[in-house]
Amino acid sequence: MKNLYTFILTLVLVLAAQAQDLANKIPSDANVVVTVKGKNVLQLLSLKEFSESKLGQQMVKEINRETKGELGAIEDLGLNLKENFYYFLQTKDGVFYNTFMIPFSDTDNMTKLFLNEWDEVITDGEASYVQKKYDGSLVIWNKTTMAVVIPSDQSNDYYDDYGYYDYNDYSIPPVAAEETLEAVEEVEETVIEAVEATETVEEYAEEVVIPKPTASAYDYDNNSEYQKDIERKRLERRAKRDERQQAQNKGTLDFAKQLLIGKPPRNILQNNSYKKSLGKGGDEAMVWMNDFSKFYKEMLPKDLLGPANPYEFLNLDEIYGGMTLTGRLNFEEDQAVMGMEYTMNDALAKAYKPMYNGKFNKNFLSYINEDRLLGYLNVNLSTQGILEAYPSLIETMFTGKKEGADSKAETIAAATTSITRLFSLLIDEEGASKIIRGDMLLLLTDLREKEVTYVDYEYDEDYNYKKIKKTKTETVPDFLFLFTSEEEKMFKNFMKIGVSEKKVDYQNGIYFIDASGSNPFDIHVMYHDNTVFIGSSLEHLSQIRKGTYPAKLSNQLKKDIRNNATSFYINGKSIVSRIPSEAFPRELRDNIDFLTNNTEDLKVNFSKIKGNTMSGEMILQIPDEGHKNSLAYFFNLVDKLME
Amino acid sequence: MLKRIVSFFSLCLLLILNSSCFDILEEINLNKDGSGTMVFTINMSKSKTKLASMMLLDSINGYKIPSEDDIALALNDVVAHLKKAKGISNIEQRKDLENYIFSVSCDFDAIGSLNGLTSKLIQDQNKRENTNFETSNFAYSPSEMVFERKFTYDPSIKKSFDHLKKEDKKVFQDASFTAIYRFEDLVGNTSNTAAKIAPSKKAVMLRVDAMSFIFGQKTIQNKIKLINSK
Repeated sequence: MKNLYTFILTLVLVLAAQAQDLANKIPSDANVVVTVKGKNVLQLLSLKEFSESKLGQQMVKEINRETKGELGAIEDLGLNLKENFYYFLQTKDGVFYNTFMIPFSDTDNMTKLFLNEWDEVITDGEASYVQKKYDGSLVIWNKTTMAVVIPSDQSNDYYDDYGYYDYNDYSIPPVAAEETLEAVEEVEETVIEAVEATETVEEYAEEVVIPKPTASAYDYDNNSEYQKDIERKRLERRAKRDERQQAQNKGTLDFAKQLLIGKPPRNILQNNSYKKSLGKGGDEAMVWMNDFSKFYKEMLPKDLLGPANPYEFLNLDEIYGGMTLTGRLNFEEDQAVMGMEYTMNDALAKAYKPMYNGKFNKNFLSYINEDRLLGYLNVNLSTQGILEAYPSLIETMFTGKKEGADSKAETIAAATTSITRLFSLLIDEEGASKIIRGDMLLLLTDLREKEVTYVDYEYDEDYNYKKIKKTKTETVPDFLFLFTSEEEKMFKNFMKIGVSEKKVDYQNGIYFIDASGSNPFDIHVMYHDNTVFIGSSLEHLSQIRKGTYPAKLSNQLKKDIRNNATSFYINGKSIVSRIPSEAFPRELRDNIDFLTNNTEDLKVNFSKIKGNTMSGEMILQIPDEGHKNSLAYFFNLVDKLME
Repeated sequence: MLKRIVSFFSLCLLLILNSSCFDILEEINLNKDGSGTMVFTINMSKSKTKLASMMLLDSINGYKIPSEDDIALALNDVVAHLKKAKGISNIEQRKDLENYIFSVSCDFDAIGSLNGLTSKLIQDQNKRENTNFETSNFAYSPSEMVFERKFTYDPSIKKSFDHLKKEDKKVFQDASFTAIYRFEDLVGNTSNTAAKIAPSKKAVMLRVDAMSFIFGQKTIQNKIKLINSK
């Protein structure tokens, strides 16, 4: 009994909580839902702080202008900033409804936003609305909620606005045709007579002048019947379009009223995938995308892509069926984090898993010096996994012909699977992975000054010139690219070809390719410790070879590189502080100190696939001082750049 | 693969870090009878690091980057155009892709033959954009012994420059135009005060920086009076 009471109490609490939230108005079959959590955002940046920012000031100015001076502050709008704001996308009968749901404390001032004569505010019971006739978009509100609905019709009818599908018979009318035929016959007779006359008087070279036809060719443009027909067609099309627009406008209005006044049979909070994506609720904003295959099919209707629709050959259900995406934006005190999660169906997860399950070469960590590091890109894929998975992935993509699909789909499916099967039989996946295992790392190791030559001219007394080589200093980045390979012999043979062809120099185990017109870097290459190294700095490669490279890396970056399928890092502060001031755009030169003090690290990590999910996050660090939190940081940055 | 990754990462930095500029060199050697040779050179070697980086990318700032083949085709087009012109012979093109220096040279029977190459293009430009550029670039009067480099500034140059993106404007900041005219006779005087007469008195050099040219502060227009050297 105690459990029953607890259950009932919990249920009431949940329902009460939901009643406050506009999510219960969003239908469970929405394709995309974006949530902005007003309360969380307000904790980071108050309305007063926002109003005082440059963006806020502009918004206030805009409100003032729109309301012809009646409203002078964001507060005057009556927004309930403590509640959640939503955007959702729903498709219904070929129409995309883009809907924004905005909570209000009171909507008394709403009418002041529509003072223009073309904005007619219509009140229908509790709801008031303004709808644009030409596209059906509308703003509708009651006492506590405002919804903005922007419809987008995906049907192909719109493509006949210019009468492309009018195939009336505009052949020449019989009377005109007869006149033209007579004229042609007349010309022919004249030509024959002229030729005969020329033949009989051969000694005279007379020019035969062919008279012009007495009746001209049929003139469509000046034919009143034709023009009338065109006009009639145009009016018909316009009437049809207006009728369709009116029907669509009514549909949009019904949709909006239902949304505001009624409740969907099942709301988005009853959708398990969405519920799962909600997480702990500490995020400031969230994006959730439902079943990708449904979305793609509705986004790319068959009619829109025409008869050669490439998607007709693909089995979208197999590829994207059950695939969802969740994104979360979190403004923390010291960093802004954007998290993403792709959840895929079992078949796709099974195909992708071996591709992303690459081994990581621990030695890579010995070739990174964080003190000088500008950034890196690390990829831990499995060549063997990719080569083994691709044939079955291609087969899945192309097989399973859909009802009504193009008849060529079957042929294409058979051809592609045969080719991939043949490829799979011919290639030795394990052997190929010995050449490139799939783990690779690109490092921007340093910025350094480099002397480069250029051609200038030296003039003598007669201004004859000769070309001379001059030098100048340029700042160039040093890079190092490395990948694991067991094929030392193959590497050395390739290099031998380069050396014998005099394209490559060799010294102390390191190969050298000079910077040339088509290559801005000096490139040094070597094979060492089951790894191929390609880098711009001879010094770095020599140190690696001797084992004296000054490696240094924080535990966090080590973890990021080692544990993720892909990771990317930019040391923003280091780059900004080391770029010469003259390389900045002139308008930013006065703010270099600000940029140096306010640019921190950016990291992007994509994990290996766990279960059916691949997750990623982008983290932007913010400076320790000068900003209340990472959201305030963005506003401060915009303020500075707008100065 | 490597090319893609490198282009993602380091080329962007190279592009930010290094400046780009170019020099244009216009040379004419004029004989007493009005015939002579002309060499037109674009020297971009000061920007070769940046150009080499750009050429590894497909496009920058929305512009497609020409490949070596595209450059060769463009030069071939110029040569083909020259070959059609009357009074032009001995056409040669030179391209140094190591240093990004490109030039085209030719002999002419009379300096007026050079005008025929560009007058149609300039006429079209004037008609299309309502500009007022001279349709002939060169003139020489053997009787008066006056060589003329014609040019009329039109504000459309500055207007076109103003429409460029900030990054693209940078290209012109250190660019320059140099004209060298050599004669068999002696040079008496030049109308353009920025022009220098060689100590031998047989050549004139005029160097104009691109920004002054674009803003109309300096001109490449010049009238050179020659004196019979006997």
